Amino acid sequence: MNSIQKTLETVTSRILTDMYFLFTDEDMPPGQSVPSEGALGFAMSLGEPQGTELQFYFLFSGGLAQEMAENFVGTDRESSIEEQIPGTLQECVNMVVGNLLNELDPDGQFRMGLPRKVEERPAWVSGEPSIRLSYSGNPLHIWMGRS
Amino acid sequence: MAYNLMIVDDSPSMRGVIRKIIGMSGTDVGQFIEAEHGADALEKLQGNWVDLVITDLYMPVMDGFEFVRRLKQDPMFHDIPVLVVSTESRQARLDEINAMGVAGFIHKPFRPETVRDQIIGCLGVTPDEFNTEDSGDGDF
Repeated sequence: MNSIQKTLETVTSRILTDMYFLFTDEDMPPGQSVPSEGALGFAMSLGEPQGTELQFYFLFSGGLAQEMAENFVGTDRESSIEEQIPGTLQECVNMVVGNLLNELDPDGQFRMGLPRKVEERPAWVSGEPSIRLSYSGNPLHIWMGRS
Repeated sequence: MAYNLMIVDDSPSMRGVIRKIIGMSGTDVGQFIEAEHGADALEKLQGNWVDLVITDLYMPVMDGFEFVRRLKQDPMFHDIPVLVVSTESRQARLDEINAMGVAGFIHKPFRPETVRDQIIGCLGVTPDEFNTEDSGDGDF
């Protein structure tokens, strides 16, 4: 799982830079948590050939979510930035996990799930996040597990 | 000449980004027709003239694989060029997509100019025919 974790971190950083024009903070505050107010959680899974699933849970801080939507969609749509946030984050999770899948499974054996917004942390999520990233002080935490 | 473009993606944000990129390129678009998944797209094709379909692969209800398969089997629509925009880059899946006769493929994340160049290639037009204004690469 450590190599998957490393790849996931690399892919996440690349997607946030390439599509959302955001760069990871070099000096991340140690042990920084995601403020609950405005935070949004998304889950996605990858079906492995042996029947197990790799599960992912992304928790975006409200500030990061706002900045991502502004950079991704802009304000020229009929709907407000707030309305664009869930779709923007869902697409981000889709791109991160999809690109991770390409690295893990070049032969196309894994089955890709669909990202979904979740109001509560999934039951399998516990303890410290697998990956902590921070963008201008706004954290993004990712948990990874297998079921 | 104005082109009618159909964008098939379950993400409204991604549909918006594609529309924005095409708009920035100075493309002469007659109409954008948006669909949330393959079944929605097949239904909307019945009542709209479409010059190019731009579709995601992984969507609920009907995914892009099934959508393109049905499109290419329909005598009414099989000539419409299809441009796939997806995170997918596994060779087996790409072979499957190519075997269905798609005109182009864009890997996500993408650069705006890639979207424009692929659309031009899929429509079989020159950049001058495609653009209504002198946008140039600088606009991206």
